[in-house]
Amino acid sequence: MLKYFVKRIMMSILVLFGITVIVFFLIHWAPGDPIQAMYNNIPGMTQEQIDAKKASMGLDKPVPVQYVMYMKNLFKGDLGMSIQYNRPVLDLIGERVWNTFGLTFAALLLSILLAIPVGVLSATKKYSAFDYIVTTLAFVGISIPSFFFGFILIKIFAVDLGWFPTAGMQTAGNTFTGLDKIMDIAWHGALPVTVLALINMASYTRYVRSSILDVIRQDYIRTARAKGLKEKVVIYKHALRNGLIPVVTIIGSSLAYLFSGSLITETIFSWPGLGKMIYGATTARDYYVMMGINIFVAVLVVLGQLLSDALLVLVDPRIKFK
Amino acid sequence: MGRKKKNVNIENMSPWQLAFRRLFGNKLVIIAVFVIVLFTLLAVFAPVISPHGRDTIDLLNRYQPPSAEHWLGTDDMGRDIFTRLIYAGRVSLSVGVLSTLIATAIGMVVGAVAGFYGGIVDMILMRIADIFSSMPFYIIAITIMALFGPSVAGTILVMGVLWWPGTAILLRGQILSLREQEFMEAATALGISDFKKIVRHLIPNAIAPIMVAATLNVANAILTESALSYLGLGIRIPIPSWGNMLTLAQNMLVLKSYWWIWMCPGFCIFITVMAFNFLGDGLRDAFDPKQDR
Repeated sequence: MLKYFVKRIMMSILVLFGITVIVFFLIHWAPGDPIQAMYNNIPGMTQEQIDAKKASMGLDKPVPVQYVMYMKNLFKGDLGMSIQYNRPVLDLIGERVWNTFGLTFAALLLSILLAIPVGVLSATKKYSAFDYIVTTLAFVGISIPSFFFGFILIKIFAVDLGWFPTAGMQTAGNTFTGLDKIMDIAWHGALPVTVLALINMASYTRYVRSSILDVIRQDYIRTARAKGLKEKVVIYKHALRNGLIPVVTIIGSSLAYLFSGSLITETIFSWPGLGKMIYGATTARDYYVMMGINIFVAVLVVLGQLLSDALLVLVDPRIKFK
Repeated sequence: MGRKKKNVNIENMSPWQLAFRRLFGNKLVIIAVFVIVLFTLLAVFAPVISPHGRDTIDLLNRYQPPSAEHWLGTDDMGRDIFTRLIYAGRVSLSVGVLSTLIATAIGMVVGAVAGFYGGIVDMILMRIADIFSSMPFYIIAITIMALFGPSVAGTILVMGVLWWPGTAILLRGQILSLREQEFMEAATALGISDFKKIVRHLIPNAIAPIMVAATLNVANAILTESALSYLGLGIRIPIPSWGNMLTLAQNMLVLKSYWWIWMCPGFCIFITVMAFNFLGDGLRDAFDPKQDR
């Protein structure tokens, strides 16, 4: 078991290494560079000045040399400086990441809490009206573009009814503290969290439903029923425990998907997270910010996969990895 | 009488015929196929169907609600929404299908080689597949599209090149189990070449799950193209795509008062993606009737 996880972690490091190579060379071989993007609109910059500026940042060296330099710093925990803001990339990500995390985890929690009971009920009442409604709505959820769904919610609940703000994370110029501040953020976050949670819930519900359907055909469920246990005990104690095992793995590996989904939702609601940052960084060719965010999210993807493996062992003692 | 005749027919049918019977016995699949065919026909015959030009600007008729003249109204430049929608269907559908074809083709080659030859070749190919499937797709796609500039070809390639691991892993798994079966021993005894073994004997036996995955992949690709185009990174105006038509909804006035401008393309994406999802699910049920769903 330990051997499996050591192997798995080594593999993850290899994968991350591969991603840094691909992204770094892609970014540097693309047309345009940060100095040009910055000084394009400033007249009177001579070519010598531009070259000097490039040299001072090490951008005049060949790309492989730059890559080795970057990786050396990366191992020291230094993600480089933002060319655009002249500040450490790590600080820039640190400022924004919690806004994105907040959105992501609120949506994750909400979608799990909703998907499990709905999925179980839909499976146990297979082919009932409830089941048809759930499966149809789940199809709607996996087919609707998140930004379109976001616009519909903004139109109805923010513009027409005026219940929620249309954009932003806090009321402009507010002086709230403590609970008031949290309530203000929650009020602004309600719509974006709803968009993410419902779309995510759709795929979770499908997994829960099909997983429970698989489990309730097993012999031990028949045994439990034959023992004369109440249907509730059979479903919620015997079936649910095993039925949720595959769901646990899906949640681990969908974390990263949810995280990048929130980047798009952020742009609709002008939520100040990483989504807006990556967009701005790419147009300015801010190499190290682009690299930083790419590496950050890649680490998240890999951690999510490792986490789902670890969780699987935790919830299912039958599993023995080789 | 009629019933008996039916039974006789089933016994004489091949597994493929049976699968198609089950597929078209599914009402949702019929609706899905109808929608896909309808949208395809509208896209193909766009110039014949609409009297308006795709990019004809008419500043005197901006923001017109749906009418007999403009079936789905006009946008901020007075362009006819219905016309732009059916032209956009050309882009969105072909991006979805072409990127899926590229991803499926790469995936099939990699999966077949990895599964058939095994060993070190398999190890290396599967690690590469791991790297590609661990890439944060949207971030990488946004990075690539912003760096190289939005274009139709770029959008197709980004998805085609990043999405092959799914098919590769699927086909590899199928081939690993098929490889050990007796008919492959017979093939070896007959001295058939590796290429022929893979193409004539292994892939046809593994094609059903690949078709299911490809159909669902089209749905995903249309959804992703619309998101990239909405962000201004996929297909860029004047070429209309359903995604970039929705960009106008960022304007509060459009969002509030001119619903037809953004609701129509939004529903086009939604309905098309849903149709491909229904078709994919229907195919899965038809090929694998034992599965309880």
